[in-house]
Amino acid sequence: MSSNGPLLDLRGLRTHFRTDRGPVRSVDGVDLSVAPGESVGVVGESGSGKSVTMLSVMRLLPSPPAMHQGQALWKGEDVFGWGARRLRSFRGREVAMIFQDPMTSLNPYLKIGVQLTEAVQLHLGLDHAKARDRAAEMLRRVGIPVPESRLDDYPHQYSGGMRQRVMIAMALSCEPQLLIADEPTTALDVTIQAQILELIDAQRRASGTGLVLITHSLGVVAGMCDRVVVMYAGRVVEEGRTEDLFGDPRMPYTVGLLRSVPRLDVVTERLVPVPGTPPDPQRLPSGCPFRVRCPWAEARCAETRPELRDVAAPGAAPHRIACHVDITKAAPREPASGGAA
Amino acid sequence: MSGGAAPAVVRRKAADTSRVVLSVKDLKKWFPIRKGLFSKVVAHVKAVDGVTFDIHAGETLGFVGESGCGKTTVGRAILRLLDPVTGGSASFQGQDLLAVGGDELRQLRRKMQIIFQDPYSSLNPRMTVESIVGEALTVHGIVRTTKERRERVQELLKKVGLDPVRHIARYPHEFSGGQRQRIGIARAIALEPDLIVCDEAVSALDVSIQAQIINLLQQLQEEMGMSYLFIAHGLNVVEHISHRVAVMYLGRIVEIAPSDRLYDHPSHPYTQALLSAIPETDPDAPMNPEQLQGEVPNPINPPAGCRFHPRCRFAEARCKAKDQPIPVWRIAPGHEMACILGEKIPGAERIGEQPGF
Repeated sequence: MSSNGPLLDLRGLRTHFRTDRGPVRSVDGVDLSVAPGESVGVVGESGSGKSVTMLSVMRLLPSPPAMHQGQALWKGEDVFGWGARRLRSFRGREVAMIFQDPMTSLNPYLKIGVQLTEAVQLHLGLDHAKARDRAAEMLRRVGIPVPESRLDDYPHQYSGGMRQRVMIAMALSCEPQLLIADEPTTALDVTIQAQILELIDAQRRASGTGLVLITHSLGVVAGMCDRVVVMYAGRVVEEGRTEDLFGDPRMPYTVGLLRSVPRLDVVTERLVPVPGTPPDPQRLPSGCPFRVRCPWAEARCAETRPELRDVAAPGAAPHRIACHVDITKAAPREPASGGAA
Repeated sequence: MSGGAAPAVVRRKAADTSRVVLSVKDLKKWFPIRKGLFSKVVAHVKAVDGVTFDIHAGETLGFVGESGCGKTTVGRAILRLLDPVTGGSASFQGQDLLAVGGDELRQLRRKMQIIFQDPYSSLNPRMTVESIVGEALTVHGIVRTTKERRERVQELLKKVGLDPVRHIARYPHEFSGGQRQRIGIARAIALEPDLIVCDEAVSALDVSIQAQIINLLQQLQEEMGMSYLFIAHGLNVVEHISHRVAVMYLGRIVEIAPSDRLYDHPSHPYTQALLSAIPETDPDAPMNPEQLQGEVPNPINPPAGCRFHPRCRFAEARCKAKDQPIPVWRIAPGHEMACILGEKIPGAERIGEQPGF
């Protein structure tokens, strides 16, 4: 990690959507930072705000309805203060994003070669022939056989895994400093998922790119990331080094998530699910939004929303949780049996 | 298939291996590819190409494999949702499943139900929970009056963990994904079936909700004793819920074994690769030591010889030879696999063969 500060630093980021039924607080005060070359996993259930956070950073949400507050600092500069010209070089050149569904992120009417050369011509100022060489080189790097001939194919002529490789090639073609991957493998088979993750990891290590990996799969994060951020109801609820967070989860929600995944190496008779359902962002419970599903909840959890606090041993890497309770000391209540989803 | 050493921890209620509920032999389902003015059949996609298996009473048989391997087609074909099948036979509780029609088929369908992957598109948005869950009860004449139906639906809702009073008159859009899947389950168990095909039933759900639904399915099986055909691509989920697991590759079962056995001693190279690709929730676990190269070949024009050979790390020249039968080996009681190189596995006993390509 470099000493000259984080690449990306979110401070109290809020993204609320204006709707007829009142504001939806999708992102509600997120603090998160990514150092150069670091890989950070962002996990949480659907609706926890992980994608909206990153879309906000990229300034990809139309406003209105999206209303931003707080700061998203890119090397110390707030992206919300930028005009269109600055944003153009930020997106694609400095930060690139890979989306879950490669079919909807590629233009079906344009040949792969055209889509790949567009960005390098624009950002790197290469002429057509050089851009084409570079596009072929990028396709080779992501493992597409005979790339020169595949440049003239259309997206539908590629398989799902191949399209995701194209997306990665496109994202990396301008050598960004940060890659944001939003569920890059969720639509793929496990075997292809393993290949794609390996590819992202290898490319990242080779070029020193930072990575934000948004996923709901704890397994993917465990293998790929230096640090993990767990989100719930629009906020970060636990954050720490991957080993610390998986080995010693301290926020009840993280504990619940880890217990609800069937493991191959551990024999379990019954999974221990997190009871209840993710909250409606328009009707968040008072205080800690997880308290209604939390086996450790106390009276004070209904009063104030807990702020992030460091629970790491003195001198150790930060391990922060947003929870009033110290679960290493308190005992959980027995979960109600059945528990309707 | 039982026998073998008892596992250290009994985590699933044992299946009744003396009673076979469903017996499928050499099932084939080919989809024609038509071209030209007269829609001439030019080729076939052999989605299922000779699949044989049994399901016992109270047993969960898992089906895993990559997309396009034919696992969903197996499930749909035995529910007679893809008539006609191309070949093979299937008997359900002794009755010829593929030959019956009319009233007999309707009676059979009472006993075989399906739970779909997508809880959003598999429930009619214009029907209330009461009519979704209760429809089949009326159609099959199990309830006579509206009052009777309501009582029965309320019982079912209670069983799947929904509120029988508050939820019964609501519409699907008023529920979350997990709750909708519970409605789908209530509908599936309404007729007290003997077999439920769970087609990616938990794949679309968030992890915390997934665990709730898996537990519900296990609990219902213990109470009602039905069998599940559990189709999923999430291998850890399949391992957790299934008594036995079948691994499919390009329309064939390449390995089938009791769940613990398969995950501890995978013997087909494809199974080994598939298992090594699962990301584990353990930061210290090694990542993909046996990573599988390449993708599933085009099913219209699959490779000759062993269909897995282009991706197999053990493949030899003889694996590519055309039209040779693929031997089937028994590795342990209930543990069978099909591989040309099977004799290299200690203790493997040749018990048959699959036709070659």
